[in-house]
Amino acid sequence: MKTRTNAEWLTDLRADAKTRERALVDLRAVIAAGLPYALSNWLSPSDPQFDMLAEDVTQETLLKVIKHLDSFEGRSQFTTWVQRIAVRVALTELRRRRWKDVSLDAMMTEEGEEPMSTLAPPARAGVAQSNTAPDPARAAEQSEMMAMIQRMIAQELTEKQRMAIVAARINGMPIEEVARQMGMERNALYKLLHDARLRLKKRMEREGLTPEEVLSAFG
Amino acid sequence: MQIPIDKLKTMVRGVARTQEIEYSCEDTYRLLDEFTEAVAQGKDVAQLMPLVQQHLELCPDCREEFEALLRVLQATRSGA
Repeated sequence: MKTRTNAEWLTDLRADAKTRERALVDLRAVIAAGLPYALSNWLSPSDPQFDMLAEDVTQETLLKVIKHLDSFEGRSQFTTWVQRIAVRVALTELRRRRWKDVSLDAMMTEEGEEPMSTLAPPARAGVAQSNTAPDPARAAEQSEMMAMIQRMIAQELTEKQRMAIVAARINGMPIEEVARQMGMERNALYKLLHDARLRLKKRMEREGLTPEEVLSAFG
Repeated sequence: MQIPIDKLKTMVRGVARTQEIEYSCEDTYRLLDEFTEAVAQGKDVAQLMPLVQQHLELCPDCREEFEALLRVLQATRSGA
């Protein structure tokens, strides 16, 4: 395969049909070489789904590359820029497949959410997940700490922020999936979560509670 | 809200690390090619691109994309 500088990639991809076609064939090979590594946490190349997914991802990536060619800023190797697009396309598709049947509403219902104005009594504070039973004093400390955090969350955050936290941070749903179900863009969801963290940070500061204190209470 | 302890600790660490100004996912994506190449080349990205670094510490989805791209670069030496 011909090695190209960034400038050569751009020139070839904007040239006559024959030159462009050769460049696209080479770019296909670049993407194909990277995908097994990009997807290694999700899918092995020997998995029956792999080949078709790889083909779909490659096609979509090439389309995006051509469409957004003018936005390449030359801050990296052209092939890196292309691989980044391929990674985003591939992971978006895999996340969509894994989570498409998971309903946000169902998740919230399962949570058994009480109205947030009531405090969860210590017995429901969800503390007892450690393998070893903490001594009673420590257990009480953890219960109290958990109740305090839950009270802050209930009082400082909006309904949407709590929903986003339950879905994205407790249930591990990808934020673009959460965003889609909440009818917003990924960026907007990130900002929602960012704002939630800021509110909690300021509330903790007002109460004189440091993150270290919380972390050490739970070992 | 039932919060498992491990998730609570992650959330609290996230709160501790929170800044007023943070990069969005799109800001991070736009710089991810440059950032990941720099990591692959052993550069000090915490100093060179601190806002990208910070976003990746706080956003598991972007971090997953970064790690995937890093694997690709290290395997294919595209960043060399």
